[in-house]
Amino acid sequence: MSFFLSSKDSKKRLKEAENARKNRLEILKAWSQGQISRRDLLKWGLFTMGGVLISKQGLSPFVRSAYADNIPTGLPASPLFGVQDFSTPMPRFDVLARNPNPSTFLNPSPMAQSNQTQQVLNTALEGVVAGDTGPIEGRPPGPIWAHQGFNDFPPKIAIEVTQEGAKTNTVYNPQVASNFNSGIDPTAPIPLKFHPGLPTQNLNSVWTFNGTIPPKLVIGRYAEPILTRHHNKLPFDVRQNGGFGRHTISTHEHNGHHGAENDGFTGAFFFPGQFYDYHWPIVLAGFRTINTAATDPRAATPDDNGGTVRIPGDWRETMSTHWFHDHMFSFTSQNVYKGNAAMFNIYSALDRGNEGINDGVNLRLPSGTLKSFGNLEYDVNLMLAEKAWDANGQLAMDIFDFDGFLGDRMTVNLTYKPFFEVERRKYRFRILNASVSRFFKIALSDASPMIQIANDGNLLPVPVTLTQLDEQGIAERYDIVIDFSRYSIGQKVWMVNLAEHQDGKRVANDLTLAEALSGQSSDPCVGKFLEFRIVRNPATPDVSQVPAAMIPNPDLSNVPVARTRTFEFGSGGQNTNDPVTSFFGPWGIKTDDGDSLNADFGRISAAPRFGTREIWTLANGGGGWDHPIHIHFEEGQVLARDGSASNVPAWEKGRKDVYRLRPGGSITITMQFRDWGGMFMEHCHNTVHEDNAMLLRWEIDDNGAPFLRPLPTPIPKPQGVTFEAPDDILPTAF
Amino acid sequence: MKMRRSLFTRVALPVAVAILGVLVWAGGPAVAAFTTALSSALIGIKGTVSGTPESVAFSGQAKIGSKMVTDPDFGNPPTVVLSIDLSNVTGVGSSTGKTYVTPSRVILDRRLTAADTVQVPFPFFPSGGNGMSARVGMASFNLSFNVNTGMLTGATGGIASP
Repeated sequence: MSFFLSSKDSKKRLKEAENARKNRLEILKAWSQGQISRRDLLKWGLFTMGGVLISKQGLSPFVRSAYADNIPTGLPASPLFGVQDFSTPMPRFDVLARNPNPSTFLNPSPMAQSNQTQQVLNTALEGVVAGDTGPIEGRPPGPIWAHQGFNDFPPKIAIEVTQEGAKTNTVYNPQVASNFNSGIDPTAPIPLKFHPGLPTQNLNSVWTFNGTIPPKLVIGRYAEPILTRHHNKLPFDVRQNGGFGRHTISTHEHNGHHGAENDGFTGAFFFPGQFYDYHWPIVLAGFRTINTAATDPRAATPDDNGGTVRIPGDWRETMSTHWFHDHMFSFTSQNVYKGNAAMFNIYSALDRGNEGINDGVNLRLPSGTLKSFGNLEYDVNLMLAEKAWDANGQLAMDIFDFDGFLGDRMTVNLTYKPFFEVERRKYRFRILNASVSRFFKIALSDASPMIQIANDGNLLPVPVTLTQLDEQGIAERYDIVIDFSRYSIGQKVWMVNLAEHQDGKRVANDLTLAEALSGQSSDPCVGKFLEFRIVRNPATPDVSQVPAAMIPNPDLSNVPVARTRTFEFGSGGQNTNDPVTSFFGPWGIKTDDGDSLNADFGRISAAPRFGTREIWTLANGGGGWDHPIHIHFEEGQVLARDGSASNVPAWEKGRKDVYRLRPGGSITITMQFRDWGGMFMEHCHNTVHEDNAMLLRWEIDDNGAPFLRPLPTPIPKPQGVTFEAPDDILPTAF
Repeated sequence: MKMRRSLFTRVALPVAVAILGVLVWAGGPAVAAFTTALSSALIGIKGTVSGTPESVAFSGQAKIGSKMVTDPDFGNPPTVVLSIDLSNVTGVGSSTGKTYVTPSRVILDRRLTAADTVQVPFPFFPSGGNGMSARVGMASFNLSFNVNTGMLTGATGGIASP
């Protein structure tokens, strides 16, 4: 059964599906704008208790037609307006400006505590009346939400960015010459289109960083703290959302080792007209206790002259490929899908971004040589996300299928099936799965080998040679190296997706390469999605390497295990009924064999003690779905899958922050809790599952003043953030 | 142009519900325990991959792990999580006599069917070498399952050029 209809289906069938889509979008629009609640929908009988839209013809296009039960009711395919595959270049990411001296560059200057200077509020904001005032910064006030370590790690770089509606990009900075960007002229205005031949997106169809494409990239390095000031320039009126998306946002640096006030906590969202200062100190984990004298040359950061500066911390905790995205409570899927997703490359002495420096520490991974660090010529960020659009070409979403949302058009860097020109040499690709619910499984069309060097934010202990990558869940990052020297100039090779979906619950079938290339799959996102064109020899010899050893895991054998915890992810859940902090949905989490609970960011489900190590087992409560589980803040080492260490594949033997459970599977990990404190989250990164309501809060909160135990829950309003006591603390939390 | 009236004006909403929906209350997915069936097989496998700089004759044992998982919650067909490990398969170069190795392991979600054919490209390189010099062979497997129990009941395989 296909979940998208063919254009060859009957007109009646297509009309029925289009009507269903429009009806669902009406409901979605009303829901996203706050006109109705999920409880209203239940009351009216449009939802079942499990949260699933009733199977009624004309309302749910994913269920069988009431007219003919053997006909699947799918969405009409997103129209292509005559656009051909692989007919436009893939743009490199748009690098955000790095501004020195944040205290003078930013106005007002960043502060340790939230800036509570008052401003007159726009009355279009919900709950605001004429004359109301509220703080200019949305970060919760007071010492608990002050930037931890702000004086020890004062920001050296300011990143100032907005969230706003679609507009033309006139300041594109790929940070590489045009010949490394498939000939794209960076001075040419870039309208917000998924392809030059597709319609321009309306102002509120797409909300991206700075309102533009290509997606944004932050360049950072260890020991150079960044202050990211994120301005919310989305519409004041919650109804001005183009049918989906919420105008309140919270920005998660995935997966930063920072204090919780900079983590993008789901309940610490901010409103249009406000900014939020995120302080990313970029330190090596363990800096308070390991290598405190900064004597280890491997624990170091690149300077501007080809050398390094040693820093405290554990060099084995060095991280590389991050991303950041919205984490608005119960609206993450809509907002990320709408464009709130960017990437963040972190450079270090080990992962220098300069392949030419041979100092015995630098791993010399493919990158370039022009700058001391952070060269992008041969180090390419790829953001994979499938989209859907309506008959007018405007981005469309259907969140009423709580299995998950699947689009039908593959994009790379928000461009529909593009091509990318490469030289005959090695390239590094940092692949991010930025989809809502879709898993990918990537191969090259000729089955040539790829070398996986990193999983999530972490370089692996040793590289792994593969002809097909493992399934890549939502939010996972796979860094790979492809050597194009095996090809001749003029040849082409394609990236291919092998993972076939029928719904958003899980991969239905991992196809063989031949099956995926056959064109027989009913899933329109199976098959080729990115074309590499081998266009020339490199101007200088390729001196990059893929060393046999990269970054080993920290040895935790001498760190006692303070606690073990279990989390089971499945269907159904009890709800605390707090109208602000809880959310009703068909998905829930059982903690330590307790009840299955819906999300409530006022509930504390776990509270590891500062400075300890724990072992957590994440289990899938069902066989009919998969969940990519993300744990904020801490990197974990995978100890076992389905109870056995031998089931852990080579590419999962580094550290990770997203853990695919597999159908009916479990994974056991170990983590340390140190350096920073506050409230963090654990959730399914199928963001439809997360929003409905597979998310929990955990916290580290006994690192001394000013922390409280437990931490009060922030309740954001335009007039300011208030606090309330946690509405629930699980008996095994502390 | 035909205009569609918003379903969510204050007045229209009850009407829309009446038009669209029969008041149906139904439970969520049934909470039922899924079942799994684990099985595995070690099968002899051999074959030759031709190409430059030399043809390589492979032989050894492929380890195939199978985990069938049912879906009582949604009533969908069972899934088989297949793990195919070729790390105990080695090759010998036809002209140099060099030993070639493969680190290959793949994990696949497949639909449970009585008979399934799976093709797995695998990288290989001289022993002591690394993936930068890898070539690719193709391993093919014919797998049989008992669709009632989910157990792997038979497996044969071979190696050839891709």
